[in-house]
Amino acid sequence: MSSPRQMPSVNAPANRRRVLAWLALLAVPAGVVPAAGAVTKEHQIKAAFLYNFTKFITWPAQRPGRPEPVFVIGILGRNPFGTELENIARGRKVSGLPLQIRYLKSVNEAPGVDLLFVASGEEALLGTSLSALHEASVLTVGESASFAKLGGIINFRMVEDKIRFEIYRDAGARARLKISPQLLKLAITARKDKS
Amino acid sequence: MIPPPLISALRLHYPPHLFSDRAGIRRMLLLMFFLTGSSLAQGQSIAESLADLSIEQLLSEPVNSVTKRTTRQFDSPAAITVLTHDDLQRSGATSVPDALRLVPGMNVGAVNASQYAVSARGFNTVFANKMLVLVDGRAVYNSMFAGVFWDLQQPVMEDLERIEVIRGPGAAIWGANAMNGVINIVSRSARDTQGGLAYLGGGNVQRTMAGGRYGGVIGDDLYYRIFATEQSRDDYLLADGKSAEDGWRSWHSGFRLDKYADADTHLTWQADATVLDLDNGTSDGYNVNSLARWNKELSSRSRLELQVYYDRIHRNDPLRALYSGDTFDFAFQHIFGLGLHHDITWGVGYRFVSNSVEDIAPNVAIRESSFDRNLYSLFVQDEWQMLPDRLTATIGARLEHNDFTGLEFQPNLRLLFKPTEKQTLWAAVSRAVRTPSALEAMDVFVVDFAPPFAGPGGLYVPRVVGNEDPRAEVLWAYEMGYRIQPHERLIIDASAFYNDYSELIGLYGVNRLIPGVPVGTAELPFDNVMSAETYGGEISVTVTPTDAWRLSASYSLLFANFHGAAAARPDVQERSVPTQQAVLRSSYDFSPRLSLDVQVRYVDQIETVPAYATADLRLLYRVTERLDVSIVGQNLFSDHQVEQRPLPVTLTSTVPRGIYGKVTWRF
Repeated sequence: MSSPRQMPSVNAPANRRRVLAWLALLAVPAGVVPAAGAVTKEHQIKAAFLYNFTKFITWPAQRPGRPEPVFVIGILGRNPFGTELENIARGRKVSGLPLQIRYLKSVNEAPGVDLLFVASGEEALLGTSLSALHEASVLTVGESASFAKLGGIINFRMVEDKIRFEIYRDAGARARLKISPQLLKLAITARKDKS
Repeated sequence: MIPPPLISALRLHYPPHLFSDRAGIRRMLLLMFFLTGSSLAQGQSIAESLADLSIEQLLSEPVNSVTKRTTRQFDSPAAITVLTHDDLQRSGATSVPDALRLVPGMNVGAVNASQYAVSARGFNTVFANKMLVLVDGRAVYNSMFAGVFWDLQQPVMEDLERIEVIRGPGAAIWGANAMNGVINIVSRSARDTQGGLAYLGGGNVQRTMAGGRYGGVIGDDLYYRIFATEQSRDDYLLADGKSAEDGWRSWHSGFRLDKYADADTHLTWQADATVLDLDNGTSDGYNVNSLARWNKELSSRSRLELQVYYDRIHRNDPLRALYSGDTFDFAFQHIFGLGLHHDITWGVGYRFVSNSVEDIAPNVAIRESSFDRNLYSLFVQDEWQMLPDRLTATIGARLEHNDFTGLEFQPNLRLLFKPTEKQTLWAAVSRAVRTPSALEAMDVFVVDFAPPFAGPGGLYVPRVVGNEDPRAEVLWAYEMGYRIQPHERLIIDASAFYNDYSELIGLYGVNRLIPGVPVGTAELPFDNVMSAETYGGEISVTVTPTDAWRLSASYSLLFANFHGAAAARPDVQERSVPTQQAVLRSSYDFSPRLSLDVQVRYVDQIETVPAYATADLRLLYRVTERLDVSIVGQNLFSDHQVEQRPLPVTLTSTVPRGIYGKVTWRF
């Protein structure tokens, strides 16, 4: 076996300069602002939760005004999820139905969805009461104290750096939703009535 | 003028008033180039993998972690590195070994245009035999010559979920040959590769690359994908600057089906074939395999898994032999909770390998043309929460029976201590073995090793022969590690090891002379002739100064002492490890559309191969949501980089500087 020819080593001055030049390239300027449309990790996790909730909740079989064979997650007003929910929806089903994501401008469109998410700061769009939505068996999910006061069914809360959720069982019962005990067990509070 | 699709794609992202006039469009373009900052997690992989987590797992997913899904890695009682889908895409690597160059402490050397040497913590040659490599649970280690045919492993990089690398023994769970580490290459479920993808590219070294994948769903719950790829690589150079004539072309195609029958049952069936046309048509090889897996969740703490696969490998190697191997493998695994604090995993496995060899190389004679091997294994492991969320002990062992050395026992003890939520301290002691290859342990091959010499009554050629009574190589490994996340944007991960090897198999010297005409044979048998200690460690630091910028640096140290008779050349062995290696990496998103990745790598001297530093670069531009263009430069500091030392029956060539461009379209 012949030994290979000596190659120029790292320590040759020309090479060292080149290495330094490349290292300089690594040091690109910092000081950036988050771009519009960037999705936080918080909402990536919340998106996964929304999809997961559907596995533990049974909607009533008879739902007037819902003839279409799709399962719809609606986002009212501001969408904090970017394309996260579409990514989840692609190729996944909920109780055998294709999953669809809709963006709603007004609460009047909401009875047509199965799960409605309301981002913090958008609660005003809901009006004063959620009873009409619960009449239509819509699972309402929010992420603020004011949403809980309005009488939503599931509310996200941050505990340290983890995401937790509260479940308001009475509101869920009024919407004729069957919430599995397994999910109730995982909630930080599964209250019988509104706080 | 920008085409309409671009405008419509941009409308999704930016306020509409930017498009009120032409100047607006120009402003928009300027913005695109200068607006910085976006989440590094551009890939869909994160959303999809999060969506696949159970609700309990989501509850423990921290919002502020720098990297996605660090939890498991951070709390692992082993030196583990995970290359995510995003890491793999950003690396610009067109092959798995090239991607593995980013893993701290991994030594990857291109041997020639098609073959690689890949190993952690020493002992790295093209015949590297102390790493276990799994592709979707299928072992791709070749037990005949030892080593992995990396050129027959050509997964569609875009469809990989992750590559997990464990440095250090993984034998208790994974089995023999997981001595220095385990490489686990995991492809995505067909559910996560819905829709179409097509790419086309090429360059000066990576000549062509083209491929397509389409994923869809049948009925409610049966997801499928089909894929086909082609790639070719140009000749590398010999040390004297001549062409090594080792260029190749490959075709890879297959399918994967995933059925989620109900919330607790997941069935997978996949099959693929790879065909290689090597050394400019003078040799060839192929691999076909098919694997089926059934996963059943019995409860939140218990799970069953059943897996079977068949694999056929065939290779016509003019320097070695014409050989083929058929592997059939069956594995069963059961995990269940015992009381509040114990999680037990146990499993059984059976593997049958049938080999056949033909004599085609001038320096290799074949004495036995076909032989079979059986491997039986049983393992059990207890993960014991001694103090919940504070102290966990993992105690496990594997019992394996192979045809060469009989029963082998591989126990393992690991401790994991979490003084705080943001710190992990772990330590481990394990015993692992490597069973000999057919080359070492059977009277199959006779390899001419050196020119003839004059002996009693004529000339003799020194020839390497197998040893019919070998013992397995044994390793006792002592490891420890520490991880800390002092700030949400900084993670430090360090590990140290002391490996004590005995019964290392090598060549000792001529044990008998067999006179012959025209030349006799001086037999050099393989034998357990050496022992060694290796020690060192790896440290990696990952910083994300902003959401759009991630920097990582890793450094590894490795020292080796070999002991044995001078004839076994322990001195050469000691010089054959790269004492220091380092990787610096920067991933930067100028905007959601434009990203630049740069990595600089340093590898210390390996015997006759001088130390070198080199760099790779990738620039990606997303033209629209569906179309992106990338330019990748590889091995940029040298146009003929030697990475591996010459070895018998192996062509060793040097890596040229490579640049390629690639267009990817999703539909």
